[in-house]
Amino acid sequence: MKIKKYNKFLVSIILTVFYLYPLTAQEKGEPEKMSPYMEFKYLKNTEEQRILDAKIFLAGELGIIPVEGLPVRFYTNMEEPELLGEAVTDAHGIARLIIPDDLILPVDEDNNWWFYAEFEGNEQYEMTMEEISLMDVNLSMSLEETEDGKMIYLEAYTMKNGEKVPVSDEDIFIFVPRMFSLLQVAEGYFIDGEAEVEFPDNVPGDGAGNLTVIARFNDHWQFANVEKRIETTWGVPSSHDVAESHRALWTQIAPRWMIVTLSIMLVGVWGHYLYAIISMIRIKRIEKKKNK
Amino acid sequence: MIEIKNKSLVHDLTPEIVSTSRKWYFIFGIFVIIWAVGIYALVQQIDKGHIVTGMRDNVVWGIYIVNFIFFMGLSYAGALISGVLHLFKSNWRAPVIRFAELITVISLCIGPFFIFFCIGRLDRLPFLFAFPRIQSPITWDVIAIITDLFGCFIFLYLSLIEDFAILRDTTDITIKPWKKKLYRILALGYLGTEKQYKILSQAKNIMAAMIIAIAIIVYSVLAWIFGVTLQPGWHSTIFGPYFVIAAVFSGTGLLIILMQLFRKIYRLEKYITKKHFINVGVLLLIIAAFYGYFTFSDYLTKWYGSVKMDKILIDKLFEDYYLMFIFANYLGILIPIIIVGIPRFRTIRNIVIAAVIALVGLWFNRYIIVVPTLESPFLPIQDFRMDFVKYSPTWIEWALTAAGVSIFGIFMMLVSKLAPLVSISEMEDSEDNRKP
Repeated sequence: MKIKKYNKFLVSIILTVFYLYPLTAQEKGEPEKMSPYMEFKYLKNTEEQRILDAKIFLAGELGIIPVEGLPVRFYTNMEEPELLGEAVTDAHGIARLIIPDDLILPVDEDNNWWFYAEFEGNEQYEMTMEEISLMDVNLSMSLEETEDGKMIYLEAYTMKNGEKVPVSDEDIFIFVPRMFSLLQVAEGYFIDGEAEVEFPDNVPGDGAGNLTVIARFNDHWQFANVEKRIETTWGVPSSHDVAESHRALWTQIAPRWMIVTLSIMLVGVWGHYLYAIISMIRIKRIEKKKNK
Repeated sequence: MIEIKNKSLVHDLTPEIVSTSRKWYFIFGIFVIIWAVGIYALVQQIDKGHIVTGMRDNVVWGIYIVNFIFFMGLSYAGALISGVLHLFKSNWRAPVIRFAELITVISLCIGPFFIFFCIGRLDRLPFLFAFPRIQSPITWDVIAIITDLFGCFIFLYLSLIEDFAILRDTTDITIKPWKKKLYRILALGYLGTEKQYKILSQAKNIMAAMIIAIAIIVYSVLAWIFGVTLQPGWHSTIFGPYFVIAAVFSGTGLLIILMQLFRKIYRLEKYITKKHFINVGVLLLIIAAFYGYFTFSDYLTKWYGSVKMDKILIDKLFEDYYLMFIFANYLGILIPIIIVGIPRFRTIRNIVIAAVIALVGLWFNRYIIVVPTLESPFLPIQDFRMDFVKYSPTWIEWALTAAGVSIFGIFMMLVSKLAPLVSISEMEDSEDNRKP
């Protein structure tokens, strides 16, 4: 009887263990509508394409988690919103719309374009939207090697009532692409629509020194993102020769001690196997002799 | 010709060799169905690629590697247990030693398949043999596993020779002619003469010692695959012995479970008694104590050191993997110790429950060694999609895991059709101290 009592005690411990897990998991797994965030960006790239990117993501303890497969609608004209188009977020959570080149966008009284992006919400995610207002700017860039160094010449102007308005008192930044993002290497300042920037001569390029130079209004308060890119040979040719590390196991030839140790061990082990196999043959031979 | 004094041994220990019961077909059928589902999952994986699994750029090792380590651990445990029982001539070993030997060989055949499931470019596998680099721990592992496989096969075969000879010569049971012919070949003409007995015993003793050494080395090599990396949670000097102890723990658990299963299915109650369960249970208790000590020591030093990445990992274990961690490292160790340690709890059923908990706990232990570390890389995860950040196995992986377990059962049942699962010769020896 006593044993049965103890058994019950044990079974109850084990059952508690087994039941705890699903219960807790269930509590944690209750469905809940999530509130995503939207990051809305405009980029005028080097080919003069006008691109709208709406990134939808969740922000939690793990950081920023993009949400894939959500439809986003893009509108323009604040007075009477007109649908520009619709796109679905990709694996990076980005819904991208490229505005057709021939589409003339309406401007407001301050000469600004207005864009609005909206995700209507669904069973899993709540609605989210964002808007931006910006002024179109035309940027041009040329590179020249002078006695002063490697110079970048920039021109920027906006259009108002059909007339060019030079950009003044604004910063512009020079970047080069690196593995994960753009690296800022210099900056310039516009005066009367023109800026001169000296490019540093210690930026690594590829093996031949090839490098992409990017001039960019980066998240600018008025122009958003506008960039120009030019391929140059202004980079310092990079070398990927790595000094040999004699202690490392990834060297071309294994260390001698390793080869010797492994060989001795393998010969020792397989030698014993051979002995066992020979023993089997001897057993068989004894029977044959006996039968004769 | 070999004479058996206790005639009932041959009859009692060869139930499925003589005829196949319905129970056998039924259980075998279930295993085959599970295996077939696994094959379907494998076809899906080959057809669609690894995207159907939960593995992504960061967590590149999922439950396939967990299963690989787990099965390899079972195998080495089987080798250690059978080798030790053989060398130390334990008088109670006879009914259990064959199970340990079979665990060794069968697990060793299954384990490496999980590596094949895990790697994306199977076509490059021959390169490992064509262009081996012995500096690579992966190459050590391949050499070690192949060496171990050969050694364990030889040891198993040596221990089966006497039984094959008994089955060849017996007239107490009716064996199909093709099986008799097979036993004649496999018995290698063993007649039980003094000389043959001596040669066979020497070979078995040497191989028993060898497989103990190989099991320790091979499983240490597997541990070093983790240990030589600088990953948080893996870069540990005690990983070699820790893995070996953990392997013996899981293998002992499986041995108890198999003893109970086949005791019930093949009605071996007369031969596998409570005494055997208690003896193997005590082994489980001792190993549990060692395993608990290693686990505590490993985590304590990491926690106390508070190296940034180790801290992140331990926080993750106590938050995201809390229940699994508690089950693997507390309940999975303490419950077997309590059950076997307190004499009143030592019933066969309780010892089997302890073994199941130990085995499941050990699988969880492998999971929390492999996955959380990969979820805590040194460099920030670039793509923040949830499945990149957090690994969760898909049904494909679970199906192949279940197939691995089922194929273990299939092999055990197939072996039982050809060889006794409890060694007749060992039983005869233990009863009469038989010597030619």
